[in-house]
Amino acid sequence: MAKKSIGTDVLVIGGGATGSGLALDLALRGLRVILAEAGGVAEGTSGRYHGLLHSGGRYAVRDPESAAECALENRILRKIMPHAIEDTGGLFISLPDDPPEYADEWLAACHKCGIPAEEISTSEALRLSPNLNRAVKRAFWVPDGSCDSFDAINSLFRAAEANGAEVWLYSPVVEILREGDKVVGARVKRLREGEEVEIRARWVVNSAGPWAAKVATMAGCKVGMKLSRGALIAMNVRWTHIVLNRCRMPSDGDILVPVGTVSIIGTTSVTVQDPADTRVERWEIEKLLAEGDAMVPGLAKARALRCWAGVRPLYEPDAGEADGEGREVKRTFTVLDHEERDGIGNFTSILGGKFTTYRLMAEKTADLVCAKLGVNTQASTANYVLPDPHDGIGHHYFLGARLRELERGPDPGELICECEIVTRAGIEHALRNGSKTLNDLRRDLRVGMGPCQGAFCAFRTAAIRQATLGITHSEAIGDLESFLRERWKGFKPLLWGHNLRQALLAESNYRRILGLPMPDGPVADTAQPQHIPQAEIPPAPELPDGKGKKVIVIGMGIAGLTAALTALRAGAQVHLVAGGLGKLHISPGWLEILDAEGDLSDAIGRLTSERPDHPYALAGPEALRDGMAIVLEAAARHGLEWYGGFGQGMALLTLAGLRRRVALAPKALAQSAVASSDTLIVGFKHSGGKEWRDFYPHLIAAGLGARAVEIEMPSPGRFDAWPQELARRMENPAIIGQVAAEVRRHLGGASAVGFPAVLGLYMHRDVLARLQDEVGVPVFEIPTLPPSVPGMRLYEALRKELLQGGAEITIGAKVVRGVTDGDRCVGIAIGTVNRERILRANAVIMATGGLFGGGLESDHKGKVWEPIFGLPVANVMDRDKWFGQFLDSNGQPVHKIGLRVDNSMRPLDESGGVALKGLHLAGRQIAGYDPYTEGCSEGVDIATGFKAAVAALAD
Amino acid sequence: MEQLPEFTADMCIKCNICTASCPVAAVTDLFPGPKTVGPQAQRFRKPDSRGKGSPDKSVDYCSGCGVCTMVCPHGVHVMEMNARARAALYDGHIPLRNRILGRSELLGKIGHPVSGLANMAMNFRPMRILAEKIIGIHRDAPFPKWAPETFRSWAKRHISPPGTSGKVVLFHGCAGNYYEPWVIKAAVAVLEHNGYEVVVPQQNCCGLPLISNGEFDAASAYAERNLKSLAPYAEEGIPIIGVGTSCTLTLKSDYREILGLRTPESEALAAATYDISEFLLLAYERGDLKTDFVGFEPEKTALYHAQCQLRAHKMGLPALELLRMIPGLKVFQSDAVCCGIAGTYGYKVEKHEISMAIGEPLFTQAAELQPDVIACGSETCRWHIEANTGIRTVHPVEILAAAYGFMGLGEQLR
Repeated sequence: MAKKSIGTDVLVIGGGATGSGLALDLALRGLRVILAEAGGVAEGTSGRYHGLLHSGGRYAVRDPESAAECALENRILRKIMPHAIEDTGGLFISLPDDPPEYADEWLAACHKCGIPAEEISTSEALRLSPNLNRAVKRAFWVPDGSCDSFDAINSLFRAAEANGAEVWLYSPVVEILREGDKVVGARVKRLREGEEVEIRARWVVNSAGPWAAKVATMAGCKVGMKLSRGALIAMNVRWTHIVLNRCRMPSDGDILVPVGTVSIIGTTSVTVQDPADTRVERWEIEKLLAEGDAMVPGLAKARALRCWAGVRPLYEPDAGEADGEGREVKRTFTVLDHEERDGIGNFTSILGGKFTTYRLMAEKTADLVCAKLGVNTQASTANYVLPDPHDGIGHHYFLGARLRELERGPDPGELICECEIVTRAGIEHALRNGSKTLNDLRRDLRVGMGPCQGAFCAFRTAAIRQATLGITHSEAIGDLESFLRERWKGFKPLLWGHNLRQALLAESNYRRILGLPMPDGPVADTAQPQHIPQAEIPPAPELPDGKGKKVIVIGMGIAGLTAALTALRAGAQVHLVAGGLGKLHISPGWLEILDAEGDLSDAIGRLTSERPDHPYALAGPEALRDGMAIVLEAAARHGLEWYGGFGQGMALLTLAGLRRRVALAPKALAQSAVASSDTLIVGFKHSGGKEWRDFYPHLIAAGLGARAVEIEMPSPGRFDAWPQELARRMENPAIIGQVAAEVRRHLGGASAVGFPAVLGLYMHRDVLARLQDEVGVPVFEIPTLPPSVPGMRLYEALRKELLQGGAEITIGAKVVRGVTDGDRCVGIAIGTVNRERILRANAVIMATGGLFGGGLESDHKGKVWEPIFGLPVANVMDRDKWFGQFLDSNGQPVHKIGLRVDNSMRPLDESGGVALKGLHLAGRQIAGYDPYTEGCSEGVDIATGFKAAVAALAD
Repeated sequence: MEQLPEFTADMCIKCNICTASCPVAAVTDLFPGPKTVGPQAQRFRKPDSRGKGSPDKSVDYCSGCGVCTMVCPHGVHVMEMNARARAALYDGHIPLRNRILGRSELLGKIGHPVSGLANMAMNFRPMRILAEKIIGIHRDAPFPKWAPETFRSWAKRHISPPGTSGKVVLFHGCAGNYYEPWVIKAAVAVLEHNGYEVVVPQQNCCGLPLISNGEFDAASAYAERNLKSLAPYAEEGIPIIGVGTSCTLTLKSDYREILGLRTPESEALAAATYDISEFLLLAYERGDLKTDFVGFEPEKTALYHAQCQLRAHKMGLPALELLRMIPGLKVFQSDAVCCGIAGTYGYKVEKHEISMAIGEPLFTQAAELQPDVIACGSETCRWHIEANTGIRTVHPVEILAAAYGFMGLGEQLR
């Protein structure tokens, strides 16, 4: 490592709020300053808090000194960093469980500390925060706010640099240099530059937060600290637009702060030894949610987006003597003059304090340093307005700003991260200005930080990164995988309910649509072109006579559709009821039966003998074949021509340029099996713009070693086109002609041409035939991220078939309960918009999906239940064990959770008896298989859907 | 917690099923889709960002058909959220065109005394072109004709016999009163045939056109008057039966969900309100519906279109089940998700083309099938479908009335 040496007046160690505030303060007083921060921006305690700009109310009773400091600084910060602060205001609320006498004591204490707290009526409080607990007894308004520490610190860095200070990130101090009993500087490792620098400084300040004791030790001083870890949870939406505090002695989970698009509930207090111990334990999550629920009833059932912990760097002069919990240590700060205290000169530590008082802490420390250095200037930071790091645009604190820019500004380009409103232009700009990895882009732009957890944007961003940086396919996909695995660690503690569904959608996108994880060997090895035969549709099965029977099927996924079609074919009267649409719209549109080498029928035979509880074993292999006969034939009547079969699986090309093993697929998808390095991949671009955000031909071509080209999109849109919109436009013969002409110009010697799967929605067969005819070589499609046009085609085909056969379809009606007569199910009750409606039937088939589809529900305690009939759920393990790492090759244990059935698809109780007669189950809610790693998603849905219908009619 | 629609954004997992099903997003790129303007944009909205502060103009292209809410498997109230965002967008600065379209009742009142002249004016091409240029109502949008006599003045003369099955309140709606009184008369005939005594108390427009056009304050005033007049019946346990499916949905749900009127009166009204087909089907299920249909000879065909507002009741398709009981009637189902008019949406000049593109699959199906009648429970849908298919389009209750033998299929009941 290269070594060099430089001199400065003051070296500040630690670039949190205090350190960066100190660097600015000293620079404004005319001193030369170097700030050495071991990590990046706001990675320590300053970036790990709830975003609360304290009014001081929280400390008024126990720690009036801190309270008064907060009250003062609150007013100053609003003035000097308005861009980082949202003036939310705050409420202190007394709930029935809170000690009633505390409120008056608290109010008096506030007034004593100069906090303008004011009692308001409870109805006014409910107006300010409509989700607030209606049992609120008293409410007080205080000038709380929320503050983005990342923006605050960024502006402090800018200001310090503008005044001559140097800010070094990723620069840990490895040694503090001493000469005799004086500190004279430090050796700093500059990680990104790959060098080690010796800094000679007239004074060194230790503002390392929870690491301050460690830094002090390097200088030979012993400093007693109490490290107190606090956990926080960001809830997915702003449950309140005003800060909520409990009016009681500060305790766990009594602050809810609206910050940007989320609201943050905090905190806990756990004494730790290691400043890097930022674990969040399960009890902390449950405790925070329970406490949050007391302020905002229902919060415990709402979506928790991410959780983290910060370590409070509290000063404790006599470490080991007092053993109070973290909250009992005073929150004011201490400037330690080590010459006076330890006899070590030219060295100061700043300890304790809180984000809100960072400026005061910096001022007091700078006063001491300046006095020692004989500098006679006063602090001016209280009047120094900090620069806005966003230059006033796209700022997060003004909630609507990004949205307004997108809709009213000049054409912003493709919207890549929809949740956080990040455009392609923004990503490319960041990549050209120092962001290297997806993780850098997340930090700089918030890509992947929103509720979708990167289910869509991470892939899009990875593809843009590949093109912008000109890196290889495996490097791009490798970074994507490691980004997803890393983010996953943050979501994993919070996966239940809707957040769990979100995670399962991400898994479906990444495994099924993109074909991740990357194979161990070279991708090209899996890309051998393959000849695919047209499928032979199995002969129509013999069915029981359903005439005169009424069958209700719950669920519009492929399992429910298969069951309904089977019952309809048997002559029954069918009513299909669904709370919403099923999974087909987010599926690739092909049919996966089993991810196995060799003949699929043989592999299924082996599987069923090895795993007698597998749904294939229970339904029987004939059910798979017969169910397929019904589905394939019905879809074929609406224009889907099937390829593949029960022999060798097809390796079909995915959106990430990888392969996925598939048994049967419509012609356009199946033809991707012939893709090779001779193939041309065709994408669309905006006129004068860049690629359509949902298809990156160059990435796919890089995986294949093939060529790619982009042609102008058949849509001149103001907004990004959705796949189905392009598909509808492609139904216009003139547009097909234009596209084909463009493709022919670029064809070269290509033996096949791949397109995004947008070749028609309702008239797909004609579009494909015409395009193939005009292009002159085989044309294939690659499924896109949801909404998936091939999935919609299959859904539309089956839906039309049902409607034409006279089935009744009710979508949007939630089934609220089963209707039983003794031990038999005789119907269901649906929740119409204003009343229950009872629907009676001879048989009910439930195909409501699993934890994703809503057929199974789950909560933060790890409870799983079936909401309609309350059937017993099998294979429920402890919630901590539901998921392994993202894309784990062993699959996720959570998939095995489900309902047990017998070989007539009847639900079983714990003892193995039939739990309810007249009810049959189909699809994802059946226990004991993993559709993604086993590659059997549609196969199980169709086999069990068929079997359930046949058994229901024979019952 | 009792949730406002905005907060259901919490449950959105961005699966895009609503986007895929949205009839508007499929035909125009002026509308970025229900997820984008709904739960996604909602994260960036604040309660005080009304009027100029509301950033997202594109939400105005939402037609309010409600397919998004219906297909969402995760319980997000997308349409309701968007309706509220649209109101915030206007925040009192409502264009004259929206003010006119929102006041179907006032239009009815103004036009009725001079119905002959008014009908002539509305059919007068230069007048319609002028209206398009000046206020933005499309020249081809289907305007109904004012009827010479309103339903209410007929009802004053008509004496409903005391029923064997009890009393019901009839909510006729503006269209039923001013433009298509024969539809309401058919409903009265069917109800009376089944032993119900029909009462027609004072009532206003339900307020839905105002809601769709962003005038929440005016809509709330209508709602309050209806609550005052109808809630006492509801509290007495007398069913309130509506003929327009959109009107009944407003009484059942929008007062509470969209206007946020959550009072004991609105709860009572919501609980007592029935769509006419729903009410008749429930009677059938109890064994109280007369099935003495004369039916049709020779066999007739009907194409039944379940319109968006009906689906939003989430009660299935009671009209379809009733129509299927009629001897000599072959019923086909429309597989279109929306006819395109979506209340007053298709009347607006900048949206007319979108509206026509949305309805195209239905018009094609009708053209191929050539049924004797098309059946649909919402008035503006009927006018739009009839104007674009040339096929007589009726309310399902008119088919029932014809099946009971009160008039011929497709004829207006006198």
